Amino acid sequence: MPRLIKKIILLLIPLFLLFSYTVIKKDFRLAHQTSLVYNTPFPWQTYILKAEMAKIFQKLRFIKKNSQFSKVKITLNKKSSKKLLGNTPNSTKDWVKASLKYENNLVQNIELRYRGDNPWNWLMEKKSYRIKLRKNELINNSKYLEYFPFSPTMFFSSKLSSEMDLLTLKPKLIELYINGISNGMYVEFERLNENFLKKNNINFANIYKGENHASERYIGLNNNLFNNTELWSKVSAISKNSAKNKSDLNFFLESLIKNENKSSPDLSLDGFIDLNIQSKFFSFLTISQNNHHDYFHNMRLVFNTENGKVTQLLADSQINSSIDPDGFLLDFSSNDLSSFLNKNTDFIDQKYKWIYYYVFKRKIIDKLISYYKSIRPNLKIVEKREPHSNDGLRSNLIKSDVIIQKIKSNKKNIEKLFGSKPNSTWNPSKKGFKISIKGHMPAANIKLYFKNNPPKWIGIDEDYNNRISLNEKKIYLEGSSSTILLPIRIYSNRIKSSKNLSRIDQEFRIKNINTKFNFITENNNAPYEIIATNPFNKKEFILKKENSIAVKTNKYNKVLINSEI
Amino acid sequence: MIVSVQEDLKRSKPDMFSAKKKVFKFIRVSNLVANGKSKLLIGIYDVTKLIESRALSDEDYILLEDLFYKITNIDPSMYEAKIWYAKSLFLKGEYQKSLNQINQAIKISPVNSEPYRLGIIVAKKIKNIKLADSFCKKYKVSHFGGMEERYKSNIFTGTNINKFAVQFTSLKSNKVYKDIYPSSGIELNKFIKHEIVPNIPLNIGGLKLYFTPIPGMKLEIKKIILQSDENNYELEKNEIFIFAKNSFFNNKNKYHSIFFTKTDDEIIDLNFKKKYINIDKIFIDMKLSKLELSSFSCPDL
Repeated sequence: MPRLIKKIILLLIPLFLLFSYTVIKKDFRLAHQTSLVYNTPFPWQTYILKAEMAKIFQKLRFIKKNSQFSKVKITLNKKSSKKLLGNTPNSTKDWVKASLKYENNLVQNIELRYRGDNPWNWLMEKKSYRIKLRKNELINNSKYLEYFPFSPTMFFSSKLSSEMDLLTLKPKLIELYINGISNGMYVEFERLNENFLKKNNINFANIYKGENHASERYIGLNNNLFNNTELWSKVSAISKNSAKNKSDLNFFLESLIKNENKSSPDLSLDGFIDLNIQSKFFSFLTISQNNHHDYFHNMRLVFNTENGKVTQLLADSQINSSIDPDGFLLDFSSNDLSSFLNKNTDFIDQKYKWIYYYVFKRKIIDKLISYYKSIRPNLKIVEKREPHSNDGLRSNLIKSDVIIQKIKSNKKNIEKLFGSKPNSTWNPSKKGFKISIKGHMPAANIKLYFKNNPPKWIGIDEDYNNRISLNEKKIYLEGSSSTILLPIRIYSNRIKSSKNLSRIDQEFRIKNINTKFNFITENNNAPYEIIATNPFNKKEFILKKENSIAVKTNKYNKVLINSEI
Repeated sequence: MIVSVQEDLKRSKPDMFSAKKKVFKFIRVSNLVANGKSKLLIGIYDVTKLIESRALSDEDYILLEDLFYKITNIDPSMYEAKIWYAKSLFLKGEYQKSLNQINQAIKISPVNSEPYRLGIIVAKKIKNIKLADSFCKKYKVSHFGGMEERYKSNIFTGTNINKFAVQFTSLKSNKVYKDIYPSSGIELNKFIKHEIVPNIPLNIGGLKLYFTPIPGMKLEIKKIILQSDENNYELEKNEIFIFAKNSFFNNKNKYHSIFFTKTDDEIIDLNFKKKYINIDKIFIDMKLSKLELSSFSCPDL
């Protein structure tokens, strides 16, 4: 008996040594190999064992039931697989030969490589792939396709963005087979390049990638992308000659700085920004609580050279239910561009209109939930063929349920905020009256009730000097009514401030503070009552007559006029 | 890595050869660790920076040239390595190659003074006045870029000349207004009125201005405008007393003139002679400009 035990131990020692070597090698690659890539400790021992067991079970169970998702089958020989991981990290970016069977198409030869700098993308069972197709064998007119392991936060966020008609890569759910074995659910995207832009009717454009992170990081430099054009790389240029020319980006960043110091900032940044498109993009970020387009990474900008406009693209799409550490935020910024825009009440107004439109009118969150319900049974089928997951036992279904709960929670928060009564007060002054407002919602269509002797006009004293100058707006009374309607919207100031002492300009929260507006009447009379409307739910409310402690408007806060006066 | 070269650098005559040999060994190990930028790269950067800081003679720089060349090849985006390499090339008499490295460094961080400083020296050596002049002029107007401290955070994301922040000083010694208001959009060589609106109207006796500047900058404060509901105050030089954490002053100028000398967070503390009540908006009328890089002004070089 002891002899048998001895023999077993002797047999097990090489296995143990081999296993240990595999664990050490994988952990080394994950966290100790690549410059400026930091990963937390990972339980390789259990992961490797469970992944191998999952493979065996999959073979034994042989689940034949088909899902409704498209099947993409890649054949990659052992030599090529070995080559990709042979000399990491650079070897993962080398193209190797493979073959592809796309849905019901014929088998075609392709080139393949892994994608991503972080070893999470290519060290686990489910890897991220980029494939290159031959010129005469394009799929959906795309030369490159990318396959990401299914991540509910990424997929549902991308789905939401494409439903909102944003310039975005459309996600497609597929089941990926590698060498005949299902690798489970994947999300297919085309690649962000000039071909993608052309499909979206943008024929001449430059694409810049702002990614000063991990191995792409400039060592020793201030990593704020908006403070240095060199930190951006041009991933697509209108011509080969202009591949290194970043003058358009330079002008754009210059314009951002100059407009921050102007007494009256130009919200369009000298024509670079299409307010309609950019506010829609931010309404999407708000609905999905995505603050991952930050000052040092995940920035993608398209410079359309035909109309001179800059469009921001979605990168690292995800759905959160809050912006840590502040909870759900209706106004936030994570870089210098979003900070400039979200301090501007004109931009806030546009952004809120989009949020209201998509959540309340188009009901995109409800549609997303219905869509999830429709694909859930199919996800369940593929779930059984999934390899062991990187993050333990949580299945795609459980993770999807969590994301759907998050987006439901965002909807609740939005409904609560948009349905709230604007927090506004008023009090008479020597030459008319003052209105103060705080909170997110604006006060709109302000109705002023005068007992007798109504003024002939009411002026908005924007510089608080108790006079109406030539450039300040006057609203004239029509007829002899004692009620005057001010067709305006007033918002509280949006400001950034910090109690911290590090990177104070990059805190997420944009605060709204109690702000006063000075109105002067022709005869210095004040109304006896003021009623305003929440422009979103159209509910009227009476402003409380009270002396409120408030500050003046800042340069980003303008009285917005509903129609021409 | 740093510890291993200490003995070489602490000698009465630093042993640059030995230090260099050690770094080359680290590079060899780094190449074994990864095919590409390895985890050891940041350590190699640290140790080379330390060695370069101890290089005082021309011979030292010439000796270290192959090390600097190697590092610029491992990471072509490393700003400081390009400056080090350019210095070595210049001292070896390879002026054109040195200028190439200088121009690449300027492209990576246009705001910093080091490549222009070296560029002017090279241009003067090759008697190219026009080139020296262009370095001078370019330096004066460049504002993008900046550095990041290796072992600590700063008020901002790193050194820069586009941002500052304001904190209000309470009238009561036991009360601190903790909010700091960041402001973007400093433009060089221009007086600009920067507007700050606080959270609520405040009773103030002064302001603190926060910067993470690059050395060699001049800040001029023309006046501070304070607004309340009833009043508008314009405070000029004689109504403000200023002191700073690190910077120096020239009190003979018309306006308050402050000279930034250190690459670190700077706090400019402005104390008003009077007390101001219910301030709900302020304007700081100030200008930031760069000082000269040599004893000659640009066109005279």
